[in-house]
Amino acid sequence: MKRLLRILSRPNGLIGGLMLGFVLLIAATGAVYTPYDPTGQDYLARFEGASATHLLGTDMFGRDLLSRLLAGAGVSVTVSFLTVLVAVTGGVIIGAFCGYWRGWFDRIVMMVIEALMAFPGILLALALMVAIGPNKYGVVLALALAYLPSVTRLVRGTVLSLREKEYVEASVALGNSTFYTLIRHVLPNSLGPLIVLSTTMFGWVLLAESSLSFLGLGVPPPAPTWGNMLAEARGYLMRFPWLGILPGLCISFALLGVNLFGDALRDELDPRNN
Amino acid sequence: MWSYILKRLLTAIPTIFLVLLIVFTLIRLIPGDPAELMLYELDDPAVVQQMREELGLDKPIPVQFFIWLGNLATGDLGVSIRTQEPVLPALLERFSVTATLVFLAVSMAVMIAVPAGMIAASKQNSRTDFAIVLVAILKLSLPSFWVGLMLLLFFGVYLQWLPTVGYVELSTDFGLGVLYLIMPVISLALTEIAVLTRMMRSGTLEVLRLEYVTHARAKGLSEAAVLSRHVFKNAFAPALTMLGLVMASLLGGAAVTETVFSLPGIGKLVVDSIYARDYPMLQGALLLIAGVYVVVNLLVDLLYGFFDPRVTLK
Amino acid sequence: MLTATTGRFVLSSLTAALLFSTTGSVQAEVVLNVAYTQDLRGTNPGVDRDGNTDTVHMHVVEGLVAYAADFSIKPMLAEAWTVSDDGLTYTFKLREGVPFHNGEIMTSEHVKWSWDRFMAPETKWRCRSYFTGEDGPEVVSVETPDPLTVVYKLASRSATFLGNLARFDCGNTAVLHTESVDADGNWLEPVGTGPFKFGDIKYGRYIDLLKFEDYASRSDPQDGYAGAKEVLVDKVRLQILPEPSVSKAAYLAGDIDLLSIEPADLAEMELAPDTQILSAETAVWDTLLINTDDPVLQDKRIRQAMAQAIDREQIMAIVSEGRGRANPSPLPPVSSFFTDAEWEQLPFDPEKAKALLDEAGYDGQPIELLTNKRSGAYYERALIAQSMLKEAGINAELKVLEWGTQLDAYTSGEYQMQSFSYSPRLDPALSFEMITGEQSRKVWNSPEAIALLDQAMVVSDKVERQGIIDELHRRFIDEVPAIGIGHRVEFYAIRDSIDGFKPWGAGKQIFWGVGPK
Repeated sequence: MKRLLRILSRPNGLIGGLMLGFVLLIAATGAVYTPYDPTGQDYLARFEGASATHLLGTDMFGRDLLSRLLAGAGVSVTVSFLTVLVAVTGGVIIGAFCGYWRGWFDRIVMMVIEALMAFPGILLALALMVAIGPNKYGVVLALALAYLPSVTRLVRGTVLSLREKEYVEASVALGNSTFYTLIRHVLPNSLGPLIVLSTTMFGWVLLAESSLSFLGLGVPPPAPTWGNMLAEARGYLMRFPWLGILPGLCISFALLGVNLFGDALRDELDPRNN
Repeated sequence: MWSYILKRLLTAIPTIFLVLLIVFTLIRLIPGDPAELMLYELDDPAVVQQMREELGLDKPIPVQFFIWLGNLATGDLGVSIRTQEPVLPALLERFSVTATLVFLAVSMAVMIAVPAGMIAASKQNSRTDFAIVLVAILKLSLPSFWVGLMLLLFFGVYLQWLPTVGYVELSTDFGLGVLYLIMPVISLALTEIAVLTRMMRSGTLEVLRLEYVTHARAKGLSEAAVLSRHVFKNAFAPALTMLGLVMASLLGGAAVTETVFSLPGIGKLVVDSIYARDYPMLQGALLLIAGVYVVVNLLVDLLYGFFDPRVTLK
Repeated sequence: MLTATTGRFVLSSLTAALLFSTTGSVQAEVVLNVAYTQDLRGTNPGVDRDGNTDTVHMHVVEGLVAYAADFSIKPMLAEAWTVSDDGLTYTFKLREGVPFHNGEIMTSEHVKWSWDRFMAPETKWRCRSYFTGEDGPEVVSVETPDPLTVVYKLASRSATFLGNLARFDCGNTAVLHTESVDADGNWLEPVGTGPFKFGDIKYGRYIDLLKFEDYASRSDPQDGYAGAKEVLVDKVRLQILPEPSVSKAAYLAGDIDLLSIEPADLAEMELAPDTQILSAETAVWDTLLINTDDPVLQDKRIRQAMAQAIDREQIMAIVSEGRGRANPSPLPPVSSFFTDAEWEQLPFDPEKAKALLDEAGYDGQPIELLTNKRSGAYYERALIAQSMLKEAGINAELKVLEWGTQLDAYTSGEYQMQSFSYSPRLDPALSFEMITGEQSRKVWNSPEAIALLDQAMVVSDKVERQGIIDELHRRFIDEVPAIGIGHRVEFYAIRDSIDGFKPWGAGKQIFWGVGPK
C-alpha cells in the first residue's frame, strides 16, 4: 500500500494511474450499463453524427457508438487482462520449475520455449486463431501462448540466479525444502520485473488484438472491442473519420496510461531506489 | 570463436526441428484443406480426392512429415499450392524485400533512438527527458496499421509526394526503390524507435551511476564526450539484445506493414499462406524465419562481446 | 510518377501517359493499372483456377465458342457450327489464319490435341466430368476431317454441352498450342490465341498482360467474351491489392486507374475528381443456405417462417447502398429465363412467421448462422438477417469464421445456416444445380427437385425448359432450402480519361476495347 502511494506520488505514476483507473472504470461501466444495446442495429439511423439521442453518433449499422465504446472497453480490458494472467501464470509455473529442477526437464522445456520464440508472435497467434476457431477465449489463448516464452525466460533466469544467493542457500541449510524456499524467497524477488513485464504486455495485447482484427482474426464481431472497431472503421476513414478516431483514441489513451504507470512502477521497484 | 559459432549452430538444430514439428502439426489442425479451398464449387468430388492424393494429404501426418523432411534434405521445398510457384525462390525473393525493409527501419530507429535515449537519461527528470519519454510512449500507443494508413492517406493521397502501391528493388533502381520504401520504413521504425529509446534511456541511467563515469567527468570531459566515449558502448549492450529480438521477430512479423503498403514481403506471404492452407509454402517460410531467428541471435551475441568486454564467449 | 527505363517511358497513370504521347516527343507505353485482390493461382486455364484467375486466363486463351454479353453462346475460334437433327453431332468450322502467340496458325489438330490433353485425367481439368457422362453427356469422339473442321460426337442429347465448353471455370476449353507443355507433358505457359499474352507475373505484386500485336480479331461487334477484341493499351497491369482501404487510397493517389469498389465506398468515390462510377447487376448469387437435414431446420414450417421473417429488400438496400434489387430466385434477373414467375416469393411478414413457428412448436432452440469477413458483404448480410430473425422470435446466433473454416463446413454439410455466395452460373439449369443434389454440400436434396433438374439439363426447347425452371423456382420457394437475398451489384471506379470499360453481369472484367478517350 505504501509502495502504491509512492508510485502515485511520482508524476508519471499519478497521471498513468489516473488514466488507467479511468479506463477500468469505463470497462466496469460498460459491463453493466450501456445506453443502447451495443449490437442493436437501427437501419434508419446509420452514420449519424453526435446528437442528444446518440451522444457519439452511430456506425454503419446504426449501432450506438458510445454503447459500443463502453462495451468494447469491457471486452478489450478483459481480453488483455486474461491474456496477461494466463501468460504470467503459465510462464511463472513453467519458468520456476525449469529453474528449480534444471537438468533434462529444463532443457526440453526451454527448447520448446526457444522454438516458440522463433515464431513471430503475431503470426503464431494468427495460426492458432485459425486452428482454435474464432472466439474471445481463442484470442486470449493465442496471444497468451505468443507471450508465454518471454515470461518463462524471465522467471527461469531469476530463479537460476537467486538459487545461488546466500539467503536462499541459508534457507535450504536451515532444513527448509527447496520447494518451500522457492515459494517463500525466490518468487517474491522476481515479482518486480514481472509486474513491469505484465503492464507492458497488457499494452501489447491491446495493440495485438487490433492487428489481429486488421488481418482478419481478432475477437469476432459483432461483439465490440476497441481493436475490432478500429479495424472495421478503416474503410470509412475519409467519410466518417470519427468511427475510427474514437476507438483509436481509446486504445492510445489506455496504452498511454499503462505505459506511464508501468514506468513509474519500474522506477519504484528498481532495487537501487530502496 | 569459430568453435563457439559452430556449437551455437549445432544446438540450434533441435530448436529448428521442433519449430518444424510444431508448424507441421499446427497447420494440419486447422480445419479446411487446400484442395477444398481451391475447388470449393466443384461438382466432382473425385477431383478433390485426386488433388488430395497429389498433395499427399491423404497420408497420415507423421508420414507426411517424414516425406517432407526427406525432400528437404535434397533441397526440395516443394511447390506452392496457392500459386504454383516453387517455394524456395519465392521465399528468397520475399525475404529480401522484408530484410531490406527491416534493416532500414531498424537502422533508422537506432540512429534516432540512441541519441534520444541518451540525452533523456543525461537530463533525467528535466523537461527534455519528459518530452522524449512522452513522445516515445505516444508512438507506442498507436496501432501500426493505423499509423500506416494515416501515412498513406497523407503523403500518398493528400500531398501525392510518394507512390502508394508497388515495390522496386533497390538493386534495379535505387532512387525509385527508396521512394517506395520511405513510408513503410517510417511506419515500421516508429514503434521500434519508441521501444529502443526507452531501453537506451534506462541503460544509460544505469551506466551513469557507475564510478568510472564520475571519474571521466572529474577529468573535466564535456558531457557530450562522456556520453559518446564512455557511456555509449556499455549502455548500448542491453539494448542490442532487445534489438536482436525485435529484428528477428520483425523479419517474419512485419505482416501488417507489408499489407498496408502492399509490399511483397515474407510476413504477408505467411498470412496469405495460412488463409490458403498453403502447407508447403508455410512450412518453408517458417523454417526460414526460424533459421533467421537463430542466426540473428547468434550475431547479436557476437556483437555483445564487442560492446561489453566483460562478456566472454564460450 | 515518371521514370525512364531503357529509353521508354513507363507511366503509372494512363492520364499522364496521354499527355506525353500527344506531345509526340517520346514514345509512351500506355498502361492500364487495375487493382486486383488476389494473386494468380497459376497459368494453366481450367486447372489452376479461381474466379479472378479465370478472368485473367480469359484474356490469354480462347475456345471454340464463348459467352456473349447476354449469356448466349456465340462462336469464337469457330466460324460457325451445326448440330445434327438427333442432337448428337456438333460440327465446328474453324476460322482461317488465326495465329497463336508463337506465330503458328491454328488448325483442327490443335483443337483435337487440346481436347485430348484436357480429357486426360492427369491434366486435372476441373470440368472433365461434364463430358464423360457423369455430370453431362459423354463425348464419344472428336474427329478432324480437315484442318478447319472439328466434329464432336455425343452419346446423348444435351442442353448444356456448348455452355460447358464456354465456361470460364473450364478455361473456356481453350485451344492451346503444343508448346504450352514440355516434352513430358508438363505445363509451361499458355500459348493461346487470345488478345493478350502474359508478361511478368510477380506474386504479391502484379500480373502483366501484354497486347498481342498479331491478334486476329473477329469482325462481329464486341459482345461479352465473344465478338471483336481490340486491345487499346500496350499493357494491363493488375496490381495485387487485397486490402480495400489500401486500393482505395491508391486510386485516389492516382496510382490505379480502375478499381472494383465496395458499395460502402460509393458515396466517397463519387466525389473523387475525374471519376466515373460504373455498375452492373451480376449473376453472383448472395444467399443464406439452410441445412434441411438439421433436427430443427428439417421442419419446412420453420424454414418458411425464417423466409418470412427476413426482409430481403431491406438487407439488399443496406448492403448495396440502395443500388441493388432483391430477388427470391437463384436464377439471376439478367437471365432471359427470369420471368414474372421467378418473382414469386413468400412475402416479408413477421406475424405470419411467428404463427408458423408456434405451429411448428419451435421453442427457442438456438440456430447458428455462419459467416465470414471476406469482401462481398457475407458478414453484413448475416448480421442484418440475424437481427431480423431475432425480431421474429428465432434465436439466431452469429458465428464469424475464417473463410477456409466456413468452407469446410459448407463442403461437409455440417452446419445449420450460413451466409454464402455462388459465382455466376450462366445457364438456368446450372443456377439450380449448384444447390440441388445429394452431395453433402448441396442444400436441396428432395428427389422431386433432383428429377426436375435432370430434365432441365437435357431439354433444349426454350419453352419447355422455361416451364421446368418455373416449376423448380416454385418448389424452391415452398421448400426453402435457402433464402435468396439477391444478385450482387458490382461497382467500379474508373478515371474519366478512360473509355470503353463495361461492367458485365457475368462478374468478369473485360480489358479489350478499353483505352484512352
